[in-house]
Amino acid sequence: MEEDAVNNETYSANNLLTTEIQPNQPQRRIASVSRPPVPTRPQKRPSLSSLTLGGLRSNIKVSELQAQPTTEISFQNIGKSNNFTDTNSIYAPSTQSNNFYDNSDVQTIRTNPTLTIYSDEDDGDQNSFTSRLEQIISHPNSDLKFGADESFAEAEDDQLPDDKQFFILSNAGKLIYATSGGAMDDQNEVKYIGYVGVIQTVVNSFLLDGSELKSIVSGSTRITIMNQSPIILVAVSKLKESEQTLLNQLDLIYSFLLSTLSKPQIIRSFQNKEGFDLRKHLGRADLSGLDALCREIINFDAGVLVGAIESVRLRKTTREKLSQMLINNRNKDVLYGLLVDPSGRLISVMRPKTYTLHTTDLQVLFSLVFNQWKSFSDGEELWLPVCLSKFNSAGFLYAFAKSLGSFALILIGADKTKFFEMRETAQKMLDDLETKNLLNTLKDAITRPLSTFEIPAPLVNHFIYKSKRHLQYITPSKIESKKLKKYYLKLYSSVDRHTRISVSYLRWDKSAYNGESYGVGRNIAGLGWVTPNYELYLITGSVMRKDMLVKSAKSIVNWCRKNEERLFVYNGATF
Amino acid sequence: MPLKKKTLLKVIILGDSGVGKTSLMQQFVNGKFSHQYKATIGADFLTKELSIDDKTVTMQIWDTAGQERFQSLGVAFYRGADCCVLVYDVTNPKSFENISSWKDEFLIQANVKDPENFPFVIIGNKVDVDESKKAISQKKAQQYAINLGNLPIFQTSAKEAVNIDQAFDVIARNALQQEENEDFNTDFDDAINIQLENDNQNCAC
Repeated sequence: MEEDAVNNETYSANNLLTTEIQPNQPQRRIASVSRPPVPTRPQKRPSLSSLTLGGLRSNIKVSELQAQPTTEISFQNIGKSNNFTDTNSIYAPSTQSNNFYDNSDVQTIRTNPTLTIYSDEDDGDQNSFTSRLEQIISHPNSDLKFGADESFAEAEDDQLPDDKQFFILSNAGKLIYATSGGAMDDQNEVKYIGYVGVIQTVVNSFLLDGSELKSIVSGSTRITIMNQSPIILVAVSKLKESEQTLLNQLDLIYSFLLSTLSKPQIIRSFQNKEGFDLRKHLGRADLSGLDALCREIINFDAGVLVGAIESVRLRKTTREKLSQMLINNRNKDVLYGLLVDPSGRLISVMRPKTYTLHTTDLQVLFSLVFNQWKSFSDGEELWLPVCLSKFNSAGFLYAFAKSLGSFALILIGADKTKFFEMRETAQKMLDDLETKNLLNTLKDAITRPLSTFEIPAPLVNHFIYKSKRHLQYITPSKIESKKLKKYYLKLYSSVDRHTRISVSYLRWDKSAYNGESYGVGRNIAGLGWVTPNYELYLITGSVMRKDMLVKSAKSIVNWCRKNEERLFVYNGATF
Repeated sequence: MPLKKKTLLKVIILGDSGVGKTSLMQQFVNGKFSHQYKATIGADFLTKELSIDDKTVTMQIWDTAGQERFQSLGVAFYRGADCCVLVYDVTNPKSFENISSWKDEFLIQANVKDPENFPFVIIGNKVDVDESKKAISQKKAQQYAINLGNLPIFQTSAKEAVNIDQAFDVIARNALQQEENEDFNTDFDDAINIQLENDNQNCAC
């Protein structure tokens, strides 16, 4: 618990320790001009130096490289490490620097092997491969109104979209989807079609070489790639999120895509034809669903960040009554029953003893249902086939959902002919709720927020507590301020997740911090605490002392654990 | 209820170094021609929207580097192409002879399902030059195109914008035909067989 993690960088310093550098090698060996940047140890995989996007076939000599009129971008691969997951990151130093080997030791260490992209064009032609790649890297959204750091000062604006973008493309480099941050106009579309061509080429070039490209980092921008062949998903973020955070987000987007298509269908379509144009086959609902989900992720969603579902606090007796109500009215076609509020907070679950529901599946399901119901008005009903890919990516389940305004009941079954049976069951359950006087109890519970005053940790302004056992989290109030979102993103990414217990303490000082001006009005501190049982992230502007923060953190954890049965959907109703 | 959507077509341009692949593409997409020669590095991408009958298509044109040293990248570029354009220089006999190797190379690397019917279009570029400089006669080229599988062939000038739109119209049509030759059915018939351990028989239903 007392372990220090001050001044965490987004990329853990452990990276350095796990790169397989011979201890006696001088760190800047690559910078020696007489020596080509060939791997200094035997490579299991073919060296990327033979891979050239605008380079010579092999053994590029540094002197040759430097002789090029303009050296636009250099990527450096840290090579494969067996005991670290974040290995295949490619680090691109600032594209402005001509002498990129001298940028820093960190990057020099990672030059093994090297992929270099350079251009002999000197007029900055907008259409050249390299300038496009540079464009993607340095301007994830070239309609940026302000830079990422400046935007920190924009207190009134709670949106983060300019700092982040998602792309979905096919293995053949055809655009399937791009977050548009508004209307996808033709001009943007043309731009994105070019971008994804570049991305496809880079991704496939690495594959040809026997390695997998996971991330490209350049300055404050990280491009993270998830290859779900025949689909490639890409996140471009300036929010200093870790690779794993972005991969989790891409996984959610991929699961959403599968939810309307299922995996076999995607595989089949591309099997017959690699150049299959999936975009053409996505319906209006698919696209608006993807838009809604991506917007949600980009605007920050605590549940997506910590990989858990938020829960509604209820008395234990109320929870038991709800479980009884669900199970007593269940018919044999119902596999799952869920009570959920309009912001996706879980109230009650009914499930078979032998099956659970994956967090991602629930997030996808809620996103699908709530996106259909723009208004969430009383009495609205929905029947939809859905592939819950973590449950089974090969087939569809059928969900019946009914809104009661302040919450919704969702029933899931495996038989697509059972609409009327499901609907009848839902009605029975809701009638039962009414006769047992549970409706008002529920409505009260949903509208009553969790207050930090209830918790004996008065100095804490905001926190997220996740119970790993329940895969649920609680947070005192909606995270709406842009600053708070950024604090949480940074705090989350700062925690080292490769040890059993990890603590990360961050400070954002009023004055410049770590070379970046956050423009905050007061000092802010954050504490992240991850153990096998729970995760806690807290943010405060009231106290800076680490020992005080740790004390508050302990109070919160104790309170949450003591009230576990109230805070989280415990066992649910199983049958 | 199918939406009216633009089809995205992937078109690959191949040919020896210096035959004018980039110039053709620039002329087609931007209506520009540059006298300066710059070798393409790796590949380049340009996008152009055009109407084919009642359809709007978006052509994603992959302009590849002709230089030998970039050939190892072929697989990365070629996969999933809807049409392949083979370009030669009418003043350069070698580039003409290489057309069939480029075709073979593409078929091997792109792993095309039905090589017999994959759409290729041949372009003989630089017809603006003096007759005396032309090394390949139109007749010879046409015969060659027939031998290669009755491929459409165009004599173009990227410099003077001769025949470019006509060539790309055929490229787009053939690509579209190839692209539309796909099946995609959204029936949700992949039902899941759920087996509950102790399927409850006495539930209230």
